[in-house]
Amino acid sequence: MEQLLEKVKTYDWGQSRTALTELSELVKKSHGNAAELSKYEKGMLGVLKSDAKRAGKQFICRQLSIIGTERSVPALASMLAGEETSDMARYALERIPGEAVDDALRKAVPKTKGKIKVGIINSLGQRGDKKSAKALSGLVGSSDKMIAGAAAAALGHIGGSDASKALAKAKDAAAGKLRNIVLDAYLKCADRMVAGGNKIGALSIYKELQKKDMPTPIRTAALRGIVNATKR
Amino acid sequence: MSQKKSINTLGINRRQFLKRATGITAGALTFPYIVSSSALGRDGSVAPSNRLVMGCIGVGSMGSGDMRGFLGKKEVQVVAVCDIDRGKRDNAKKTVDGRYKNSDCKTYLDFRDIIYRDDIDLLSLALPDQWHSIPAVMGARAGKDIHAQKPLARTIREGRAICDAVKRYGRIWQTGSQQRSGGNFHRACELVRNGRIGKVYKVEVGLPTGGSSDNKPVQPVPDGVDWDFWLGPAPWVPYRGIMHWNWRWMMDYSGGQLTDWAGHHIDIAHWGMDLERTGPVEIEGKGEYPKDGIYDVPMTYNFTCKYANGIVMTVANNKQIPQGTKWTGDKGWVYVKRGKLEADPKSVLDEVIGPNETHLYESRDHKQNFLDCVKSRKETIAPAEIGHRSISVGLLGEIAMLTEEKLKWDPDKELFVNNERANRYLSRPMRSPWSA
Repeated sequence: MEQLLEKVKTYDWGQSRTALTELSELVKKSHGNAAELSKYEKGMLGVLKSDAKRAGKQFICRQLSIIGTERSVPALASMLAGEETSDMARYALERIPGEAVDDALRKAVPKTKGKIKVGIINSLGQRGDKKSAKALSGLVGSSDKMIAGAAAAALGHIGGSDASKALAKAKDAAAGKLRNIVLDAYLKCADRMVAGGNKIGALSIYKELQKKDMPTPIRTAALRGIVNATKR
Repeated sequence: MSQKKSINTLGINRRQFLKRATGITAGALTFPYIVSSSALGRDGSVAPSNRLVMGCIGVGSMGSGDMRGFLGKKEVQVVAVCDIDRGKRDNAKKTVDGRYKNSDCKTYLDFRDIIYRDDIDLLSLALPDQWHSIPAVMGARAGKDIHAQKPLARTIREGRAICDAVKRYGRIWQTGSQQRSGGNFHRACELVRNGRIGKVYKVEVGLPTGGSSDNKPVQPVPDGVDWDFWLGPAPWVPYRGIMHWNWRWMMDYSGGQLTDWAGHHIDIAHWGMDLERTGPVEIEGKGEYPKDGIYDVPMTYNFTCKYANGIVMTVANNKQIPQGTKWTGDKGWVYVKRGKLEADPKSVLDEVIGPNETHLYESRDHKQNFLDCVKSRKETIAPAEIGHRSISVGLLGEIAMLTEEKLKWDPDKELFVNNERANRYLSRPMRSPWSA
């Protein structure tokens, strides 16, 4: 394994990837063997901390996305702010279960900006991290429309009372494309309420979204929501 | 208000009609608008103001074929084309302008500029698989009706996101699984559905063989191509000359011939089994992957799916199972592929389906079916949910081969049972800023 990991450190796109295939085969064959997998995870984290090329680190992140545990979180979290490493770190983190990942992503939000911040917000949304709802609520009003849109969409995925309150407030202030994202997220909150049995709460949102000043697709979706919520 | 009033007598145009039509199925809600015969194109003279306005996103090989198909429909007006490759964009514009004898077609690099155009009713989507879900979800959210190339999505979660968005916004969706509109496939499925081969217990699906261990060097991005945009949500890698076709052999963008063709022959298998809106409960299989080179999809594949009703379906490349779909029952078999329909006993092929038996949805022109459904607001012959369940089998097979495990699948929850590792494959983290 050590030899293969050394080859990964020097791997770059366009070169032979036999070492990469061999390593992924070894990992696959070790399924169910916690001790072996732990050894591989440790070795792979060593590659992330080394001066391996971007291609090699990306390969490792793909592997960790499948076998990574909370043990991988510190190393991956340290890559979240890097322009070349943020997306690959999220590729692994987003798939690794556990609160340590959510904590790391949440902590990275205020420390990052632009596209990197957007990616981290997207990951929190995909993971449905309820603890991030308050922080994301504050970002829906960001002057950076890309961040505001990502925060609104993430709140739609997360749902719950904090998310719906923030989106209710944001819908009146948002304009243009951002407004569509906010309204879509608000609709999703209502749909989640129906699924969770809170039909009264959902109907109140659908009725707000049925108003004449709402875009036609939103009104259409809200109408469908009312029909679904009032079904016996 | 009279149900017989036409769009024009109500003082609304085609676009307003479509915006008001919600797609809620008949019986739930009724919208008091009837389309005029002119808008339906029945009198052969559709005024431009009554045409369905379309934007085409992705106009490479499949996309330009779809675009030409819609250009041949008199009720459609293509007004915009989009591609990350300037050459493809310009060619598409030339084709559209040539068809309408003007220079009105607008070209776009960014698909969002088409989606946010209020004057566009319909989208034609034909993109590499990693790009299937994002414009589809955004398009549905913007109130567009959508024809999109198969496979429905690159991952099961993305497929579900498309289905949810289409349902939430009441949009008309058609997957480009055009075999459903082919006579022999329809006939084969009706024979199977009506018990002409008895109780089905086995299904074999053969799909093309593909993939290779070729390598390609890192090279400069061709002039006029936005490579970063082409990659979109997929991990960043340098350009290595895999546009516009060879991306299909790389797992970041496709599952190879398996996921390209699952939307055809597995789709037909499901149609015949009456399992179009569910999935298997067990999957296991093996693939042979290239050990080196740029490509990484399986060159050969073979996996087996067991359904809750006991039917076992095997899917493999056509070196192992003849291409097409074969259902075997306790009284015989039916085999269908493009241009061929066979049965044992042969007399099955002469069977007449009686008036009180199961008659499947009939379409003889796939794109026309989409347009007809846009106007009627009825479900197309290839709705999102069915396209999702068809490709889900291919994607489940892919995961079974990657994990080399016998997987148990819950088709209602769309989760693997007690298998956290396999569940990680259900979605793919997207490169910023993209999200479905």
